[in-house]
Amino acid sequence: MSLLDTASLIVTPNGYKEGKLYSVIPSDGSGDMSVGRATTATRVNSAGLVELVPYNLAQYSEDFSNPFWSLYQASILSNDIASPNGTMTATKLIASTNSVAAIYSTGPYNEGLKTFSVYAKAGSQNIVFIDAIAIGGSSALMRVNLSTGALISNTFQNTNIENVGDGWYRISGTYTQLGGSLAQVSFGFGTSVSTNDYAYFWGYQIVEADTALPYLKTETRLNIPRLDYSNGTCPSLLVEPQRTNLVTYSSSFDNGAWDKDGVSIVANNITSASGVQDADKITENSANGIHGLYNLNPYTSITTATASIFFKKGTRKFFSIKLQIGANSYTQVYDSESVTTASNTSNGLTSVSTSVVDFGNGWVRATLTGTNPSGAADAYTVYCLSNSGTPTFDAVNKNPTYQGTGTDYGYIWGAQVENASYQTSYIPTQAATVTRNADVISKTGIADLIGQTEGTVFVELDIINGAESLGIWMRTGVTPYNDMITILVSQFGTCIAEVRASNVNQFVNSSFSIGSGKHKFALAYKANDFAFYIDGTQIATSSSGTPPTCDQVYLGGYPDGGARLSKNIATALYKTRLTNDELATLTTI
Amino acid sequence: MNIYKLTYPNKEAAVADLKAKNILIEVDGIDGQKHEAYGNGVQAVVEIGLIILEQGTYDEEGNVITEPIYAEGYHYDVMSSELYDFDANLVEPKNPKHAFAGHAVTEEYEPQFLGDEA
Repeated sequence: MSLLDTASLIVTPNGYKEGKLYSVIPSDGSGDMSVGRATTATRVNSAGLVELVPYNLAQYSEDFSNPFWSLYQASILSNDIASPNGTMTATKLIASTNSVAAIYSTGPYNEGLKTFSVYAKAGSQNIVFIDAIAIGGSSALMRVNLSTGALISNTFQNTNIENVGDGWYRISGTYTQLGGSLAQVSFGFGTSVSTNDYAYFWGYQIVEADTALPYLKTETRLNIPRLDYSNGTCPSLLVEPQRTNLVTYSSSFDNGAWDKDGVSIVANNITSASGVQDADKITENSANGIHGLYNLNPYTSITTATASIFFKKGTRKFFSIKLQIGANSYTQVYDSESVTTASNTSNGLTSVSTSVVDFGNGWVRATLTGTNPSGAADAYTVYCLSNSGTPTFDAVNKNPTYQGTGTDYGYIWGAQVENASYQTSYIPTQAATVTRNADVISKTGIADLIGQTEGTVFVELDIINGAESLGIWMRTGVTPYNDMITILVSQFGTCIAEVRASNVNQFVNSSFSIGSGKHKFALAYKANDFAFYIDGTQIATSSSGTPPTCDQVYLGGYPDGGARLSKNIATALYKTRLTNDELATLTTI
Repeated sequence: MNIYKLTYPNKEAAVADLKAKNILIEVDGIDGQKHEAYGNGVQAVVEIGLIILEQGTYDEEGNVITEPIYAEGYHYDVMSSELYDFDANLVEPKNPKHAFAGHAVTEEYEPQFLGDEA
């Protein structure tokens, strides 16, 4: 028997659904974690791509009675027949007139490439359609004969009709909408219709991809835990604080929200870090000067900001980010080929940090953080091409300046500015700034899974430099810190284990610091017997103190909006104080 | 979940109202100090601040040539499962400058059906 077999609770980034992260132990659901965020978010998926979570953009993909959906000249019977997955969840669409009968949603959905799909089965009607219509009228429509599986007519760019058995077909169409949002998506039937004609539908999906991805059921879409693969094949549970991307049109640099100086933009020219062809080409002109773009409207009331952008080399591999807050600025040049920072010019910002990370397929994400020592002010970011890792910086505007060729270029995608001291996952925007809420991963009322008089807490974390990682926080009642057991790593890498009862510290250790990357922590507690281990090494012990009784567990964040940036790989609780040898074994990397 | 779009004369008035409604609360921190936190049911409080209606102009050094023109008031968005009466502070902008991820900014639209070929 391994140590893991004796745990009372094990949670890993594994099985999940909306609002829930399944526990490995126990397997009866009593240890499943609640997931709350109330917004969508992005992650790096197992293919290394930046992906919206969930990737199905449609809400209530199997519940067409939900107000998210509307009916046009039709009624429905929910859960009427077996769906393609065998559950009684398919919907019968019934014509109210002798004309079109449809189920539709008015979104709106952002412009760009998308694939629309739905499962359909013939009833008295065997010719069905799906369509997508944009504000302004451009549109795509396909009609399919469900008796033969034949495509009857089509204005989508690509289509697919897949026979999935029992009379069901999955029909899909791919369409790129430019110049405005999609205002309506719908499916139904409209060919030679008689009143009370019917057909069956199930599992509607919209994805930002050129093919229909595996079907993913949705409800609200808002509370899905993020299994993040940014550090390889082993996922971590990504928990982030609330953040707003202050940039509008964050991947639409051709938009008028961006002022271009010495460059031209070709929209949606190449596949981005998301796997979709929505990255822009930025080409320098032949002028002698700067070659970049910046936000026309300033970000207001900024003291500290983090600016980031994805870049892929074309004929130019060097690029720069300039962050200006008030009269102070910092400009950093990056090399997208070697994935390193190059030269910089510092002009007043303090607490500056920079980074550049490989996102695969030639894409890097570069980041610049800085603080205005003069306090809150308007802020701007400038993203430029550079002809060198050590360019000449313009004496006035502090951006790389050089004689352009008129032909050299690179690619950009996903600009983000956060009013904070470190970068978080990408938040796509269009005309408005967008907020991703804090992730809250919690379980309450589980005193039976938490050691009350003795126990052991184990967490494995992927630590990120510059951000506080909250591994685990257990408490009782509603007062945050009176009775608690916690393991966290400060933004400076200080590892903190703390046990507090009746608002009195029973065991505290913050003597050890670690760097970024994966680390294992274990904190064992029992009356007058505490021990703290990191990566197989005993950090501290204590022979005095009394542990509290806890009945709630939080991973990565607090329930009051105080989420930290955490990548939790595994969590385990034991109802016994493991031996020191077992703690060493459990935490050995 | 309820989304409230709010405008106040200034930041101080906004914070005072949010605290009066227990949307923003103070809790004892682990360091023994008071910390601002979200009240019961609150998912997010977003300080939007000033909204620029017309951009300013600046010289190459970033000095202001003409000041930007701002919308009246100081703006916040609140997302909460709780119901509040914000009275005159509640607004319904036609072109909101801020959204929550996954919550569509809806526009009036009359549905049309290309499949109408009966």
